[in-house]
Amino acid sequence: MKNQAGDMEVQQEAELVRAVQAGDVNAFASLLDGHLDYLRAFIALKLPVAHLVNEIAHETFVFAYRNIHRFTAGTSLRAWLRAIAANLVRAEFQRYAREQANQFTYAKHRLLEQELGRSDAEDAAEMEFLRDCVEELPPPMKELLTLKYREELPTEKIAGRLQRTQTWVWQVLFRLRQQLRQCVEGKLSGVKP
Amino acid sequence: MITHEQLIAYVSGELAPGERIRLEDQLAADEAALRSVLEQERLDAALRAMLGGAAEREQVRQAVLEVVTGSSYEDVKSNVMRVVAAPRFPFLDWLAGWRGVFAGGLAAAACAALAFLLWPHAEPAPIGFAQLSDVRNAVVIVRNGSDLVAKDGTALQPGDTIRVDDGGTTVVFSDKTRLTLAARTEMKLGVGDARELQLLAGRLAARVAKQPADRPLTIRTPMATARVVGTEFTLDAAPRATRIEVSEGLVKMAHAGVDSAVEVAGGEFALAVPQSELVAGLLPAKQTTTGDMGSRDPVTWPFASDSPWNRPIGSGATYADVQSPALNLAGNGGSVRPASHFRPFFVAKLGDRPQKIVSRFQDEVFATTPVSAEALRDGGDWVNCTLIDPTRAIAYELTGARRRGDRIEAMICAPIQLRGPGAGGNLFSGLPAIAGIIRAGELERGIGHALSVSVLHTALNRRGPGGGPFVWPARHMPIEEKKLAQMGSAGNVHYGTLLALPRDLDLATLGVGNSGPAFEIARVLQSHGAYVTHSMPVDQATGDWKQPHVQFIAELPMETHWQKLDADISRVVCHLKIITNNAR
Repeated sequence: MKNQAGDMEVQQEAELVRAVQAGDVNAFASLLDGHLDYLRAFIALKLPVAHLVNEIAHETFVFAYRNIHRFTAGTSLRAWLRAIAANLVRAEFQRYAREQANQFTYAKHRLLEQELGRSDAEDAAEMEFLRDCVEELPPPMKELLTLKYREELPTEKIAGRLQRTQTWVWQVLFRLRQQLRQCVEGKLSGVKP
Repeated sequence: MITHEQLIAYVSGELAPGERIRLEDQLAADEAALRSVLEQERLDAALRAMLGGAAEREQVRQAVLEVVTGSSYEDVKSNVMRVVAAPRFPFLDWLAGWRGVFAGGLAAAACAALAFLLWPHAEPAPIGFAQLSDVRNAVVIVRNGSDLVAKDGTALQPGDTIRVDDGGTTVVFSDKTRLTLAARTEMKLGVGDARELQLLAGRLAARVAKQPADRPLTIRTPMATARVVGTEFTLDAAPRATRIEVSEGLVKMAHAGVDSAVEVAGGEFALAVPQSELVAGLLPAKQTTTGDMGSRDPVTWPFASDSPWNRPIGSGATYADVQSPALNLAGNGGSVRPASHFRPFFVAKLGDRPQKIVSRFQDEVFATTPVSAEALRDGGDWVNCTLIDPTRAIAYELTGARRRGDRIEAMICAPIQLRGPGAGGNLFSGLPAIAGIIRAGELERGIGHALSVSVLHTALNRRGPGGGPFVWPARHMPIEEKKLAQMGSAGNVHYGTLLALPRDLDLATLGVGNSGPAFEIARVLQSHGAYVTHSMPVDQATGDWKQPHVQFIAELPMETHWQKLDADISRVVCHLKIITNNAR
């Protein structure tokens, strides 16, 4: 597993945490920048609903800031943020569970809820493994992901750019996501307790 | 059994709304397939968060810092401006890149001047932050898991949830947008974008200031999404339905998670319910007018004498050829459809028991009226029908209705004044379904009113003079984007178009004789014409059968020789013209 460029050294992070605890708001901005991408992706894997991903990421950081005095500098801030986010995701599931009228939504969220039962080690590794698996893809597949997710092009334009049909784009993206899932699961099997 | 291809189509968002709902029903009972969909959605969302969404990420970052630092409104405004303006004005980046070349002061002055020019004029002010006003009784703000007691003037923060248990309150945004929340309402403010709100439950009335066209105010409910550019409306989020009623302006509404929306204009409503496409129509008119009826029975010959339905074609009317690439009147001809297949009528007698007509999805009574015992079977299928009250004054046009015990449940109920102008129905043309039908006995006695005609859906030009597929007496109606896209974009046929036979056409030359049903229909097409009130989907059937391109509706005995009638009607309709100016 690679150590991402955005990750901070534990000691440097501990200093930033102490600075925030002493009232330095700018230090919190650095912590935010260091963990925001990771946390959004983590939440997305738990609850893949675009607007909720951003809301829960926001609530997680605001909660962390307001409760930073309860955090022990020098321990893993990322694990603490993950735990806060997981609790907020759980609260969101409970809200859904109260709205059982839509059986499909309910069934979907029951399955998602099972994902919350993973070990912390698996949670911590899943995002990093996904990044590794994307890196391991052959260049044409990476290009497809770039067009779809980084450039956010509509399918029609992707198909035009790659001189393929829209159906081809849908099918390949579907297979690609399946392949990435299998790749992540394979790597996770080494982490599972 | 759900196929792999269905799953791909579902995940790619390529299923039609109806198919999507059916598949979701199947998915709810098929855990393996559901798990596969879920894995796709999880990976999709994670890749989106990991590889892209730079603007979205920046918005979340800004929103967190605004809460943490307690930024002033001016700071927030400049942040919002940066997020909003940067992607649309790459010139700013270009300018930034030349900072070293230009003198610092000059660049700063240029930036300031550009910001001054862009901020007030490029688009209306952002919604920004909000505060509460008119707080009555039990109103609570839920912020980061804690309940705060709300008071007049309480400042709200992104992500706050306002819960009105009893009483009510108004949320006033800095751009003067006002959302008034009723009792038992819960609304959550957006986080990344203050224009993204969630109405979790209850009802709100909104007066929305003009929003940037490309960044409308968005209100999500569990069932639907409404996008607002600037208007007045009420939004009601019941557990199984979301209903919007628009007083002024325009709102785009779509089922949650569905791209195809309807535009709901002033005087219209839309309803999102489970397992159905969006339902939309006209709100009942607040005031109705009634006119002279002569001695006519409004049930068999409805509407006032000066209604467009009852006015003969004027002597100064001008005629034009029918121009529509998809309409082939000479090749495909026309037909007559039995009224019983269209929308049956049930006229109540004075002794019939009054019954409530209620909404299928909401706690709402549309009307209470005596209902004929013959109307609708208890617990039967959902059907479209028309109930007429015993005074013969009002026709209730029901969509998706059935009897349930001592009441009638319906998806939509449009009350039509039978002595009124003949407007305000829930067909796609906004005209009443009861108008223009050839009623029993009229072919023998003579028809004294204009007819209603259905044309091939693809024959309509969606780009009418008013911007939509409508001309008077049809009016704007909320029609789903997918249905609009299926229409044509050229020609002179729209909802409301008056088709007629030229006044100098000798009917004896049509080859349908000098009397009989086809001759009588030709005669009324020459004297009154036929308004396009609805449209028929293109039938994909192959073989020798040709789909008729226009269709009239008639109450005729079942023993009618329909095939001969259709053949005769086809000889008539190929001579139809369009009335462009119905001058007296």
